[in-house]
Amino acid sequence: MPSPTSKPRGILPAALFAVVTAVVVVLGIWQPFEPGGGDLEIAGGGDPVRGEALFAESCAGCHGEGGVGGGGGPSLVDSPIDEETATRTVLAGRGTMPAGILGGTDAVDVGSYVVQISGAVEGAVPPVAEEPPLGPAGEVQLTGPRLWGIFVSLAQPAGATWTIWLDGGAQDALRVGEIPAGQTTFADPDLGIGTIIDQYNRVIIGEQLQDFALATDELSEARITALKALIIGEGNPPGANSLVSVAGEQFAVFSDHTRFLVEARDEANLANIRFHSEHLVNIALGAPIADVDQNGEPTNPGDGVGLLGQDGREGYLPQIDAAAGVGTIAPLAELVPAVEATVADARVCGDIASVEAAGPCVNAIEARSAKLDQLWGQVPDAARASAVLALERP
Amino acid sequence: MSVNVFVADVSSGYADLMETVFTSAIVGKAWLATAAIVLALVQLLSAGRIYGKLGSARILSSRAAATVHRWSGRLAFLFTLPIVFHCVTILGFQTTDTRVAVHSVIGSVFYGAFAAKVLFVRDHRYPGWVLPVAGGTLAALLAVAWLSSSYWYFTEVRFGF
Ligand code: HEC
Ligand code: HEM
Repeated sequence: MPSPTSKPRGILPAALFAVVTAVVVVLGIWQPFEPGGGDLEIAGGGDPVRGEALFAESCAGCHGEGGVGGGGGPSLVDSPIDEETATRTVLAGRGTMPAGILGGTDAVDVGSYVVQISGAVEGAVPPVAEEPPLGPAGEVQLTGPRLWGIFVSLAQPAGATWTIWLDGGAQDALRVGEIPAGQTTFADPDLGIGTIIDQYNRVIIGEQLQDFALATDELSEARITALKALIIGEGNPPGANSLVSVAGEQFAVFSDHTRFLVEARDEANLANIRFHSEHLVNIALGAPIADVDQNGEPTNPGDGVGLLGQDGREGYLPQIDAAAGVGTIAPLAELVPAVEATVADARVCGDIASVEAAGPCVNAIEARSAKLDQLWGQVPDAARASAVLALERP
Repeated sequence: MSVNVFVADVSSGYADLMETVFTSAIVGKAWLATAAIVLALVQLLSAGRIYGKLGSARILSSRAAATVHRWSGRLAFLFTLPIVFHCVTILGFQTTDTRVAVHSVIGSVFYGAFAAKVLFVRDHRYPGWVLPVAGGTLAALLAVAWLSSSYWYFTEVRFGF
């Protein structure tokens, strides 16, 4: 305890204040966990075609279909913007536009689409609004990571002001918005009711709830269960996660081991070449795990389910395929055989006799890995896109 | 590469955690900040009681008010920690517009002011007016941080859980 007679040091609180404030500011500028930050390739890297679909899903609610404005956000057409600015705006937010609506490559892709419609690219024509393949009357896409929002697109413009209701389940019909006469789309990225399919299984669109002009085929119980397993996951605790995210983790482990294998080759470490090859096989196939390198101990850094599964047991990729509707997720058609090819190469490498002999199988695995990453990268979005209801005239 | 994987995990892991209770991380932060504001109000009232400034409105003894003051303060500070973790490490110090710039600056200053206030509480050699001024400033800074984030979100974007 200081003696009551000693004088307080006026400089101390000021210094403490300045240091703590400065530490927070510096941390904030450093922003160590910036989503999609770091070595994000922003310059010219985006895919505007993918971006267009993402835009319709996540941005059109505020910026209008095709970015022409209307829903609270400004028009993005005819005001040239560069890709970096567009992408950074999506990552960081701006004014009333929330930060982080999309992240990573999604943000870059949507950024490059925004550049296109902004007219900043010479000779670039705003892409003709190319409707996704529609059912007879249109479709309703459930959007967002937890299916909180909807994107409605009609094959033909609404005949009058049409109202959109959610219906079904134990709930009363919920009015979610309207499509003005002559328009074809409606988007709300977050209806504010949580996961829509927890409460509703039907969308009704028309002038009045009673005599609707368009209705959907109902989502069956089985379809809802499948979508939840696929996109949302069981229950709440993080970890009891969706198929897409758990599979993503396994895929990351697979990808890491491809890298370890390449490193082992570069270090001319035969034991590690064999060891990591065994891991690739077991991460891909799951239980029962194999002692590919024959060191007497079968090991598996994966979770035992495997990307592919084996012996009639479905791994993650077949499970995702089934949950989305077999064949719905296009990239899986290439991804599954590519993983199989890597497994075949890894079996060879796992029991190879010398570093030199391992050259071809490691090279083949290395050469395929970028393609694998790219294909997997498309799966989560494609899985979400499978949460769709077809609109049909009753 | 591995850094990026970790980075993605932090922001989506944070969101997952918040989404066990709220519909999104933003909403969760907005409500936690609101809880902190309510506790800050309790801070002001209990401080008023300690200094005998509440006239006839004496529900608590001055000793009880001190306990309430100490614990509501600790709790309010605790509530800001998960928020500020997200603000600082994931969103960062931003100056994209006036609201956001004011928010980042005031949010940062809040922690400096908090450190100074704790010093004033512990060290009794400062003049008597210092502590109430520091406490009031702290509450005002929190109010501005709240107005420029939660209040804005609730009124401009979405009000709900
Ligand atoms: C909640 C509504 C909302 C959503 C959703 C939204 N925006 Fe915005 N956006 C805004 C508002 C409002 C502004 C104007 C902000 C300002 O300057 O104050 C804006 C501004 C922008 C700008 C800057 C425009 C300029 O002229 O500099 C870009 C680019 C942009 N948004 C792109 C997007 C993209 C891409 C998406 C989808 C990932 C998106 N926005 C989703 C509301 C939204
Ligand atoms: C008392 C401390 C603070 C409180 C109570 C607080 C509260 C909040 C809340 C509730 C939000 C809205 C939710 C969201 O957008 O994720 C938010 C957003 C944000 N905060 Fe903080 N914050 C504090 C300190 C800070 C600090 C110290 C910084 C920067 C160094 C900061 C930077 C940001 C940014 C950049 C946003 C996003 C702004 C936007 O786009 O709307 N905050 N804050």
